[in-house]
Amino acid sequence: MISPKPSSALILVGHGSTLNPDSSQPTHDHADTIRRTGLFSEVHCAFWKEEPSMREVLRMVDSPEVYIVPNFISEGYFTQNVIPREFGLSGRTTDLGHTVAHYTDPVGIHPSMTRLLLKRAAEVAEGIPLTECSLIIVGHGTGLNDNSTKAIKDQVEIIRAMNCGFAEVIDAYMEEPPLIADWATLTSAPNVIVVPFFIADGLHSFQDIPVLLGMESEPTAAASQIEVFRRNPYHLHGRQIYYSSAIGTEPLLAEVMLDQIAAFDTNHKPAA
Amino acid sequence: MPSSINSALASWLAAGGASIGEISITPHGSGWQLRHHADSSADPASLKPLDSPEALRELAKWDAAGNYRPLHSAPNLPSGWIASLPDLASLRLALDFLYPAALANWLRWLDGTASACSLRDTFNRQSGMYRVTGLIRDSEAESLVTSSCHDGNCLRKVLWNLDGTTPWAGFPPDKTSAPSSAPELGQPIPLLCLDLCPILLGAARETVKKRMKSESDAAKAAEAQASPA
Ligand code: SF4
Repeated sequence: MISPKPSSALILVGHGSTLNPDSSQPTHDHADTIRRTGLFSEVHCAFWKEEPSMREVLRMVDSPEVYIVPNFISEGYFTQNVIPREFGLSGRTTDLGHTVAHYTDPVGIHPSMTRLLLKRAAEVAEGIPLTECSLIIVGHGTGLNDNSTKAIKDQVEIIRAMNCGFAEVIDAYMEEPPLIADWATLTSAPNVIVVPFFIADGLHSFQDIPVLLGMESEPTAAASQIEVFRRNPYHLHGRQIYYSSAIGTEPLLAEVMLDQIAAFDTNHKPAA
Repeated sequence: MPSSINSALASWLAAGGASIGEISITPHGSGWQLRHHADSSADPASLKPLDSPEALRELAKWDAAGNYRPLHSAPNLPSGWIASLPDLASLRLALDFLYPAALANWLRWLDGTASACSLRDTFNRQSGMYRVTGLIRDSEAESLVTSSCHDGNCLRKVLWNLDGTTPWAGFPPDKTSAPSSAPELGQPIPLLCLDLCPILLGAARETVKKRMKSESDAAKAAEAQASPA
């Protein structure tokens, strides 16, 4: 846990969506959690596709210092190009005139994400011995300048090395091999836990992945989205699938954001 | 740390400031009550009680028919509720949720620290899938902006113009300007558009792509005609 920063504002930056109302919700939820801690003088959200925009949110900042935390799953086009451009950032720390901005790494690449993945896996298949479970961490794959595939492979390596008892731990993707659609041949245990490595429950985790897994025959309607996670386990190919909501909806992600700020202070903060 | 935005909001309220967007604000005990303008004369007992900024954020996410509202300044905030907020901090948060950045845009514009960014400057800095917006023609921009940003779609004042000098011919003067009265005068807070929004950016991309497609279709047709198989 970090110590209070009464002279610092916090901005969580999400992608947001003009079509999908669920896209920005986790970012708002994590902002609410951090706001309630009182650690920062102010806590705001900003979005690429929703209001307030990154240019607008800077006007809301009243503090001499602001931490900007990308609520993204990996480094990529948004964290390296769009966010710095829209905020006018020139590096890790930028003097913007009315405030000094510190730009942290995206939340998804912090080592604490491993803890969240294991917690999600344990919750979704509660009571099932891990030795009878395969764990699949699923991502999109083939993104434009997107390192999410690497972020997932890293997590898989870390969890394997921890020897926590899973029959196997593998990565799979929607659009590149190993394909999530091939889950039945990629895994061998009677129970298969699938955790989407996404920041929000968007169309991918509500609709596309359930279809690729064979849980749904066609994309479900928006109103029944949450049902996807309530009907575990799914019995398919003589096995049980336990499907989790996106890792970014885990409430503990707010703590990972604070961890990411602590990491910034340790590794990058200029001496006062 | 004292917030300059909160103190300006306090001065505005002290001067009787009571209106922003579709919302009216009235003092209530030591706190504030918010309701939709359409409910100003409704019996409070007939309105659904809300008691937190977060509840207002959720309310503002949907229109009366249950459709997602990605644009908070669209004139379709549902009515039929009354929100009680205990103090200035929760009122500030509620206003930031109902009309994101509206207070900050207004105050920074009033004190001269924020200015509007022209359509050309916004489009020309885009990259990736939005880079093509830089190819929009002046006439396309004019008709896109007048058909997207009018008061029936968005209550914001369009303070940016085409290129820093060329105004929008299709709008009445009060759509492209805002009163510059200080918070201490308590006048309704105008919703300002200083940077065009992602919805307009997306629509500009569609406009350009559609035109490019029809140009390339026409070129192909002409070529086919010139060299019949
Ligand atoms: S560009 Fe501005 S004025 Fe036009 S619709 Fe978007 S927010 Fe409203």
